[in-house]
Amino acid sequence: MKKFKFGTIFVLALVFVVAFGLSPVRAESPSEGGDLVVALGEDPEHLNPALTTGYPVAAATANVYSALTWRSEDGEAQPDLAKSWDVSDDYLEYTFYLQEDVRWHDGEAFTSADVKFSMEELLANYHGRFQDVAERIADIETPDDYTVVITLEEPYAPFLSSMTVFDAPILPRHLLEDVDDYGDADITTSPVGTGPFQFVEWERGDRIVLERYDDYHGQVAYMDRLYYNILPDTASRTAALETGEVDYIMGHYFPRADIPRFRENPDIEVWQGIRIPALWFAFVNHEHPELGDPLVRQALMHATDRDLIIELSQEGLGNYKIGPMGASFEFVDFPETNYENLYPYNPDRARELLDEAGVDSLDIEIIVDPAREDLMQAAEIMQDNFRQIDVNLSIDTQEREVMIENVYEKRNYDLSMQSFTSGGDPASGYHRLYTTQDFGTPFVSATGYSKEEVDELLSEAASTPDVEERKAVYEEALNIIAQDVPILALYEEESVDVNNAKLRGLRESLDVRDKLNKIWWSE
Amino acid sequence: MSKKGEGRSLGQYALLRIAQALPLIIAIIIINFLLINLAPGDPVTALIGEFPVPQEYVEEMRANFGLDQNIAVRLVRYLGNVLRGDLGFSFNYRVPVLDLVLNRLGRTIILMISAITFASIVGISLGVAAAKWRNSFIDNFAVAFATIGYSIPVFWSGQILILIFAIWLGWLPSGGLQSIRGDYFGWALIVDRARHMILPMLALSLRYMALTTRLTRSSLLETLNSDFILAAKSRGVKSRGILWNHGLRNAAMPIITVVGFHFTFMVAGSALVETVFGWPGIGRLLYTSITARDFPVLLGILLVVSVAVILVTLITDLLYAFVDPRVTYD
Amino acid sequence: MSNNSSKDSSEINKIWYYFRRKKLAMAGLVIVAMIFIMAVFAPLLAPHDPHSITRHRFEAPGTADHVLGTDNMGRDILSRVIWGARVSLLVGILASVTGTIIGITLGAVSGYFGGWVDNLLMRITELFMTIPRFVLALVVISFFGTGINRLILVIGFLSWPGMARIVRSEYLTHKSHPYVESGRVIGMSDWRLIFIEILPNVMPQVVVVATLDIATAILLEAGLGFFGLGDPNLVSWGGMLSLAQGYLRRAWWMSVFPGLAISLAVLSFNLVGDGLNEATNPRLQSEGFNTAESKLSGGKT
Repeated sequence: MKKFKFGTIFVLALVFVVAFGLSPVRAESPSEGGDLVVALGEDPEHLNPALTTGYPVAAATANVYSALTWRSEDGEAQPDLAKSWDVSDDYLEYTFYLQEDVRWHDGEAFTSADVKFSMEELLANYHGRFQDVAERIADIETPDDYTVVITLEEPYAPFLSSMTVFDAPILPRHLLEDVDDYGDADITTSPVGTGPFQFVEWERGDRIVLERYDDYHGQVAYMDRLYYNILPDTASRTAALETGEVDYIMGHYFPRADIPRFRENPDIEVWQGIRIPALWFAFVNHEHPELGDPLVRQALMHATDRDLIIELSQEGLGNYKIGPMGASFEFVDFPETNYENLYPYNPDRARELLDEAGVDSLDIEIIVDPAREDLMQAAEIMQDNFRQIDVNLSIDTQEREVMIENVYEKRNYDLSMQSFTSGGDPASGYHRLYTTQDFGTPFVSATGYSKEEVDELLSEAASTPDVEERKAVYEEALNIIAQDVPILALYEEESVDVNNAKLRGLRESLDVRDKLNKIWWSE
Repeated sequence: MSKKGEGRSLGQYALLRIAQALPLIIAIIIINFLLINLAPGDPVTALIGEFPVPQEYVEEMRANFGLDQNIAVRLVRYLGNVLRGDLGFSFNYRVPVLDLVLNRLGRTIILMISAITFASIVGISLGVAAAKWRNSFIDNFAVAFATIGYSIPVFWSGQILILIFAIWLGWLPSGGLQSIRGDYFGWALIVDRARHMILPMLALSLRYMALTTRLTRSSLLETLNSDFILAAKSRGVKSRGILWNHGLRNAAMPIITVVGFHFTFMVAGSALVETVFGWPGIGRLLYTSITARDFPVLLGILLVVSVAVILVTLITDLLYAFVDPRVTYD
Repeated sequence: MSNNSSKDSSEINKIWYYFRRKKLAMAGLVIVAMIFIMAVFAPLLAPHDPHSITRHRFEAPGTADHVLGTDNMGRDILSRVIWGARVSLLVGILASVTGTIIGITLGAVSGYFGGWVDNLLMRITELFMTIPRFVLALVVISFFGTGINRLILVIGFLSWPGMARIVRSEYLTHKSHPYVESGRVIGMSDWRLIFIEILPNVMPQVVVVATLDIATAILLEAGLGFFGLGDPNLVSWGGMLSLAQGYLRRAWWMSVFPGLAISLAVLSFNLVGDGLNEATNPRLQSEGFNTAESKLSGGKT
């Protein structure tokens, strides 16, 4: 992707240079003013990003709050509330030096006490994405108002990239310390942050309005206002983009079916690529008499036309040539663990493997959340695929909460369609797919797969900050996993954002939802 | 209902009907509560997002929403709260259920009222015309329209309207409450919202238009053949006078019937229409609450809608009594 | 009383005599028959496997291979419309039968015995008429899970009140007829009177309401399917429309054909129901089509 971009820029630059006879190219300069309308697919439950990892909550608050760091497009951690930091040689002590003149939107001064409070009282107790960090934190010290020292018990490779507004948003201590129930606090519905935009109003089910915060500690926003419009209906979302009513639709809320039409529209810019990798897969219950056999799981991989699934359910946007942890992180991508090399679509081979396993025919069920159209379509394709090898797959739709109960808590299922985000690092999001897990925890492996060796290797990989060493550990772990096929990993999603072609400055951040202060309108 | 009674006043009759409705409402609350609470699935899991959280947080949330109590305790508490006007707190939206439901109800009612009004005007006109020119082209058209219109599912007519007027002709917006960009005030806002409402209103009114046409036509025919009209005719009253004076008084009945006895159908219809057009009314709220397993909101919607049905039935009965002197209150 | 059967057949002949003179009703009957044939012979009639997923997606109608086009998963719409008839008919008819059995039982007991039994049962009926049944069906199906058996049961259990009211009023009239009185005198049991003596005389009315109930049940099933609550392993017209909603701009044919199918099915059962209603109540003959809606509103008017 990056190479392609570079190439394009190069060619464009060449064209310009030739066209203007070597005269210097005048770059467009950012202009101030205007509004940005972003489409959300559902109303957030509330506006407190420390209490949930739900997508719409994070989307609507990512520009109201800030965190110690943010991640630029290349994935590197950049200074935000922390203007700089020191890391000890053993990767156990992180010293953050904070910006000194930051004020909360209500005028109170921001200090290191806010950081300590947010991490210890809020994030460690309530925030799903902070748990891996919280487990490793030994101590948080605040020697003065503008210094925070975090000591870890063991090194954690993705530590700095886990300090963003999506993983560790910082909330104001002065508005929360005296509150008994954080869920009922005023700030939970009318947020007060340190971000580039401040909260104006939230008309439930309709829109959230933010306006520029002039005292922001970074680049003050170009836009006057941000509108997050809640448009639950996919068709009306895309229609609104075409009529210019909406400026920006993030991939999560994008019906893939409309992509071809958008590509033809000069007023709309389509961006596609993998930023924060996410894996689409089916959990397999290893306690099932037949599915517990690795041969059967390998057969099911051979029987699944992953290419067709991407083509039909994602408009071709995805990569099925992946290993157990995808292929986007360079250090987990090895040819010998790539499922496309190991188990390409081949129904005949699948049938052979089933015969080898002594399985004549199989009647299994797959649990799918009916609200997830892409997962439903993938399941329908697998149903059609599996018929060719005498495996009768019936689809059982279960609303999300029922699915969570049956899959994670009771493990009362055969197969179940899921998608997990990597959270920006395999250790944050993908390890949980293969490590040994107790019954009852949602959003981790529900397969029952348990190998001490794998657990140890993955734990080692998480605490190995050196990339080359880490890669070697992963290679060992993934070789075991790829033979066991604990889950049916289908593809890594390629995300798509569409926006008004006149918008500039989008996507400087790794996550499309934050740093909208950098966006401006071109005339 | 049409028995000759001993002449209670309209007010007494209304009071009696309200008293009869109360046990009905309580029964509905209990049924809804049991049904929804016995269903599988844990509402708390909806709130924590997509990453695992500590078990204590889950327990705390459960206690917060009173979900750790046993079901009987929760029912008694819920009943008490409802009678005090407190329908609880939405898990999902974190606002009082009553506020949420009433806010959405307004938009649904606007949609329903305009649909009923439109359906009545067109339906009655068509019905009257059909009755007046019996067996003419217009009569045949009315009969065909009424039969077909009654059979088309609202969500399909909604889609077809979007296809024709929003996609092919591009005259009207395909959904939503109002234009997203631009601050509309005063007239501009009203015009903008009205434009957004035309298609959902048309889709929702089709079935009622068909019903009203059908009922107006048949009740007019019945009336026109009845003794007192024949008598009026014999007294030399002009037939147009008969149609308007006697006929239309009777034509009021079909509308009341449609509104009153098909109100529950209309609730269903608007839930579907709101989904097709992304209209943020109670139907959409119902759908999102089902997906989010927002128990208090579901209970609230079922309760409010059921009370609305009871109220509408009551008003219908009273209107019947008012419009038709042959009905007395018993 | 002893020659119930011959009486029945002459009654049927009479109804048929009136029925077949109604063009609209006959048209309805023809369409119903066609849908039946489609449902029963779906595997023979459908040109493709309705579940077979291909890369030929969004093909416009009119090609030789896909007369009505293909959907977003490259499945043949004509084949899916044909197979969809199975679910619609199955749910429509079985739900109506379920509702009819419940409605007849409650209505008959209520009307025959009267008194507090009647009072209690009518209160329950009123309760079920007050709760909007589509909303209730949505809640029940989405909470307890979908599947064709549940669809039939839930729709059936929610569509008896209208039937119960009509049957009750019929029993109220019939129980004072001389033939019932004399049956009682010669010592027939209440059950015999209810189910063997009176029931056949009420049947014409029951069939009318049950036919109209099929139309309503088909609509209800389609509505649930549209909300994504149909049986995910079967093709249903409502489910097809639900899918079409997301592709209105790209593939109008995904919406038009299944919608036409639902409308035709509902229309045909309504026409047959209306026709039967008029045929069983010859006094309505002069008015043209008439009071079917009083049945739909549960005989409340």
